[in-house]
Amino acid sequence: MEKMNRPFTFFGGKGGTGKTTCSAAYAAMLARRGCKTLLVSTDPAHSLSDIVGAALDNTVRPIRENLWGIEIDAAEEARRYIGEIQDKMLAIVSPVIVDEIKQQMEIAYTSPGSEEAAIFDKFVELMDTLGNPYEAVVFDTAPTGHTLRLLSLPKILGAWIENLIAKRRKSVALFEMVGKFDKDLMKRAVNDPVIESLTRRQQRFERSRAYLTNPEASAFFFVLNAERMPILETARAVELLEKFGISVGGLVVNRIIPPEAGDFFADRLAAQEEYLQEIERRFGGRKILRLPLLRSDVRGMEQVGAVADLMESLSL
Amino acid sequence: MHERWTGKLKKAWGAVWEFVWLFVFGTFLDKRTAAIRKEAWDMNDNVMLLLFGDYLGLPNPVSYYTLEILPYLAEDMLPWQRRIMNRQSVVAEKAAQYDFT
Repeated sequence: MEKMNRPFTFFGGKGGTGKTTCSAAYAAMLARRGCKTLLVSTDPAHSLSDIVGAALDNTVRPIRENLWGIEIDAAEEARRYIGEIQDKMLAIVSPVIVDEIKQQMEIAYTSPGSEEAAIFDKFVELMDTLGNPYEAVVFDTAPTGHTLRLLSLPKILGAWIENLIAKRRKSVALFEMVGKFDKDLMKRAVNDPVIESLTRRQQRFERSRAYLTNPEASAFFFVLNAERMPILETARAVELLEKFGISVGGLVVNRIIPPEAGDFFADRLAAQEEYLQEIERRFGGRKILRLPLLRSDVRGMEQVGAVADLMESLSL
Repeated sequence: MHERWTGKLKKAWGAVWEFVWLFVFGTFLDKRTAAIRKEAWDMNDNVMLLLFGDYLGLPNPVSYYTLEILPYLAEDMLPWQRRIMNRQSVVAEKAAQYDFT
């Protein structure tokens, strides 16, 4: 068997369906096969440390042989990013101006979407490190809406930045025209750092889009339970991701009540059977992995390994 | 003695040349380039608006990413904000560009 099917695997879905467990089990499975795997959690409410039984934080830490983990701290990433900009600003403009526009920086820092943007930056950074030493990266993403926004960023922003670069080019060209008679204006036209910076950003989006839309490079798996709401939400999410050209690898139906559960679950079992059929109907043709409800919560690598055994049965 | 005279001559020549240049610039060039210059600044303002519209209350989905451009445009920031907040009439602004005389 091959060590892995693709370098990047994402697990997403509604909160509480067992995304983190599934991604940990999948990563453990890859690591067991001798594939150097990095497990990334982007959920603001981190539970990865709990599940793998190791203290993880914002830097990559080893969990066991061939397996590393990181819990992205969006707030810290954003702080670091803003700090870098402030340093750069102090080097370029006078401290008086820096002081005056400090307020603007605060606005950007607290604006909605800044955490998503910070996480996305880290995503691309981690994806770029592929090959040294990780051969595979498994992402445990935040609940659905948040994730979709994150993954739709490259397409939307790519077009926006293109437009912006074109406008800036035009304005610089105009400055160049009048700059012949005005040295101050000429200074604006040569080596424009704004276009350079925007182009770098654009290339970054392009790269992440290339990763995300290539089914050989990445795939997205939805974790859901056999219940009504998760099915509807997953259907919506699958549709959206496909609209953005991100390949959906398949579904993991988690916490299936086993038939031997007893009388108490009899009604639920009947309803579940219906929902399982609906899942089959809606998402037929995709890989669907069924995981049973376990006797206890998954904690520690032993138990994660047990789930990994179940995953092995279907090569995701 | 000789050096002092050449120095003075150079200075005088510089003043004359500057006068001639300013005369030519003011009479023939400045007015002709004013329209382009105005257009360049307008375009620049538009770029600023796209980049930093959220400081004026226009939501910008990517204000986090445009922040990295701020250091290069920080000097323009406050004048731009003043300009854009004080705009009275766009029509009058455009009309001012044309030379009706």
